[in-house]
Amino acid sequence: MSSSLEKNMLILRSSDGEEFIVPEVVAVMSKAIKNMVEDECASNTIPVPNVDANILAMVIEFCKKHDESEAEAASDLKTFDSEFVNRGQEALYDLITAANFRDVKELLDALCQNVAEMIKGKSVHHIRIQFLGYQLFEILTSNFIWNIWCDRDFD
Amino acid sequence: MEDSSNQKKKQAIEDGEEDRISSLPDPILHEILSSMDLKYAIQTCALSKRWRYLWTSLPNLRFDFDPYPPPNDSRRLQFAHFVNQVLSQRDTNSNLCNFYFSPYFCDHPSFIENSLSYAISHNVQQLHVAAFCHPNTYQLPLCLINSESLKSLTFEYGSQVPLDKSLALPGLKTLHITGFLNGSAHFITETVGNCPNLETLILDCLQLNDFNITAPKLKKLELWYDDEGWLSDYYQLDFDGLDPVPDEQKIVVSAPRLTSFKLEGRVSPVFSATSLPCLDNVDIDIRVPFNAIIERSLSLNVINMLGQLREASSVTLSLITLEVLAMHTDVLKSHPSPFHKLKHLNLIAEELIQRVRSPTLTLPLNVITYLTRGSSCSDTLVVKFLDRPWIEHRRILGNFVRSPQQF
Repeated sequence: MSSSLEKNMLILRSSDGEEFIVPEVVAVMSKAIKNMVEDECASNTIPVPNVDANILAMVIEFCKKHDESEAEAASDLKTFDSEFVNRGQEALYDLITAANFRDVKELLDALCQNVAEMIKGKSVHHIRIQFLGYQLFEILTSNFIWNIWCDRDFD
Repeated sequence: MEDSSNQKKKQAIEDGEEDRISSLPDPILHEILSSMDLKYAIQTCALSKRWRYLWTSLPNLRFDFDPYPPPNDSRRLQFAHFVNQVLSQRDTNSNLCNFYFSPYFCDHPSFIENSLSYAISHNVQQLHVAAFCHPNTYQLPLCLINSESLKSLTFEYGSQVPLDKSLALPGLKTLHITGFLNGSAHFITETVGNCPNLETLILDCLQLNDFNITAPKLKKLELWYDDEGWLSDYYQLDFDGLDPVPDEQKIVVSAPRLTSFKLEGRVSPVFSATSLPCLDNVDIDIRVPFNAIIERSLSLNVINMLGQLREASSVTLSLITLEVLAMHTDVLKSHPSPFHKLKHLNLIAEELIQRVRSPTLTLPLNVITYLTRGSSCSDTLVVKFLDRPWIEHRRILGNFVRSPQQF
């Protein structure tokens, strides 16, 4: 029993050395891991470089939910997705990078959709301050003329 | 005057080196921009140098004209101008992946033709066209007819697409056409034959019943008949019987790899393969006008079709289909139960409840027995009642497609 259970489990090791035991069906939602498993170049422990434990745990949480909820209603999954991606910018970009690097399509789609929702329809200087790290004084001084032009044109 | 460190920081921001979002790779930013309205995506060009030309290589373009409120000429011109501007300022070396082109109605065929030519010449893989032109119809660009890049093609307002030449698309996997006028049976037969890699075929608001589908790799087939059309046929008959489908009008399907089949209409296709070993899902909704006399031949056709679909493990039937089967018990008795792998039986209850306005349903037991008797997995048979809220939506679409001349 235990050996057959272990057979379907994989160990993922984050960049900071933490190990996660994950069912294979969940792990292979990452195409990169799937390829490794299919090519049989993966031992039981798969290193996941560039992804720290914190982010890896989130990615696994997402994949588990999507694997389990095959039978669940699509609306439930949507609610889960929208709550899942509702995070601070730092975590969001870390997740995007991880999802991109590990090729987890559903997660990447949900994250990109979320960023798009945050950006769309906002004024240029709003996006600059909120997302591009502009300081207010920079907006108000050096780009003053440019912004007036932008806002008139686009709002 | 700004000091040099401030200057450097400003420069870095403008080059997009500083912040997290700007340092994401192009494909991700394209994905983000593709998830918003094209107008907003283009506006990001004002953010910084990093963003300035990003939109020009966007692989997914969606031009969706909103037909409500009813458009006037200036709105249409504005839309055409927007499309032309975007396409002319786009980076000509960047290929397209997804091109959604829905100008609704326009009176310049060249606008539609040029836009389609642009998409095809940039190796578009998924093309969605919802356009009609009046009084002159547009022509399909020659490059579209033989495109090698196309993987998925959708035509709305199919009746407005000039279908004199069939398509020959070697890479096409998905074809979806909505709305056909009579006379394009040849087009379907030829096109399906000329697209050897076709895996999904959806024909929506069909009005044809004499074409062949020969597709060696086809997995999914959906045939949706325009049932408003059937009803109008029926009104002419003064409610004394259905117009029987003439024998020579037949749909012959040769698709040995079929896994999923959906039918909404009154015509029962004939499957020429001796068996369909991959078949999994079958969804049948026979459309019969309310209070109509159900002909014996109709019941027989449906039973014959179910016999050919015997490999299915999940079967969905409308209650009207059950009625059709129940109408002639002697026919039913003389045929063996078709589904020997049946695991899931779904019944679409909603419509009949609406029709008879009764909260209770009467299931013809002999039909249920006929459907389930042959199954070797019958100890785990799941019977479900499903709703189909989108049926109404489809009807509206069907109506709309049938009379574009009014616009």
